[in-house]
Amino acid sequence: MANRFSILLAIFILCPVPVQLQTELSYIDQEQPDSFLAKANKKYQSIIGSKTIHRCPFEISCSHFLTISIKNHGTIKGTALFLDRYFYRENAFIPTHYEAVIKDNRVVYRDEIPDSLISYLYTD
Amino acid sequence: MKSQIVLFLIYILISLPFVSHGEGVVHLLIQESEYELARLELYKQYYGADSLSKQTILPIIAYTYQLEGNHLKAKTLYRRAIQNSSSLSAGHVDSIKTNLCYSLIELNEYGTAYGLFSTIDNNIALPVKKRFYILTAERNYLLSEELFSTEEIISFNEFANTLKKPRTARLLSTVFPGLGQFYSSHYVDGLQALMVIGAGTLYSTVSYQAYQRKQTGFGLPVFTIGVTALFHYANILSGYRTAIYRNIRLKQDYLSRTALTTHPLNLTQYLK
Repeated sequence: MANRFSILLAIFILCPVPVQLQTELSYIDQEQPDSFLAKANKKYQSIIGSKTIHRCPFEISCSHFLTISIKNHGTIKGTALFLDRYFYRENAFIPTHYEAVIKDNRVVYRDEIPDSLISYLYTD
Repeated sequence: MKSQIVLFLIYILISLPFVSHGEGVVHLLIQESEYELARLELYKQYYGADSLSKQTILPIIAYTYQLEGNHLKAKTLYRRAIQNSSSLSAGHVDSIKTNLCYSLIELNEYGTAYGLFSTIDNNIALPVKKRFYILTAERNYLLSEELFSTEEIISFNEFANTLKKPRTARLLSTVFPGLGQFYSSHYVDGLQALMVIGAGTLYSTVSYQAYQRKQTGFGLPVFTIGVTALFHYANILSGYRTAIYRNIRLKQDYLSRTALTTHPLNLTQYLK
């Protein structure tokens, strides 16, 4: 029983390790095959997303955000960034926190932090 | 027939100023935000001009792109204009460099802009330099008294102290879900994170207890703990990002409060 518990604890603690490994690998080999999630996202965009009303409040829609974040940060970190946006940051108080821009005759909110900005301001 | 001749003469008289002074049309078009038409006129002049006039016209073409918000194209053209600026005056070149810095700041290329600042005269680039120092307040640059007055320096330091630290927010979110978002004043985001991870932790505990009582297999607790861990990881990333968003918002407010929402310098004045 104790062994099983230690395995569960190890899963929880070592969660960032595959993320780091995946990020390093993605730098070595840029053209990796699409993961299951990326393929599912592409299917969603082609079958459902293109035929429904555009109602995402952010400037890059959620499915595009997922595509870009998986491409830049790997599957696990990319998915976590998507979860952060979809479950935590998307709420009725968006106008107070993000810059409003007009796109396709619609008010949307800019949700992007360029890597150049982070590297210049927040890393020594 | 006579009336037609008179009308023709009137037409020539009206169109004469536009024929002889094409630059006036460019001024008008830029004032009325007709940037594409202004560019058309400028390109017409550019391909018929000698090398000296080309050096004046190219930065104005870049300026129209800049006014449109196409900073990437403006950056490329400004760079080319600076490379071919042998016959331009020092003040003119400094104006072009200032506008290039403005585009670089908009493109978040702060390092390059900072490098360029040392080569520009302070009197010309003052508003853009002030804007740069506010947007990069986290770097804690020492503000020179040539650029800022003592009151401005005190106000700036007070503002810099209100900025959030993303690393602190990340640490707080790691210790307790949603705390980093609360620190960054994204209260609802923090509350949502707390609710989602709280529910995940509860479900993980229940599934693990069920496994201990042999009511379920080993897969369910692994799945629930894995999913909760992923959501917790998202919460840590969220803490970091919300602090950055808060800082961006604070800087925008400070810029509007100090009336420092600068515009690029008007380069059409250099047209002869």
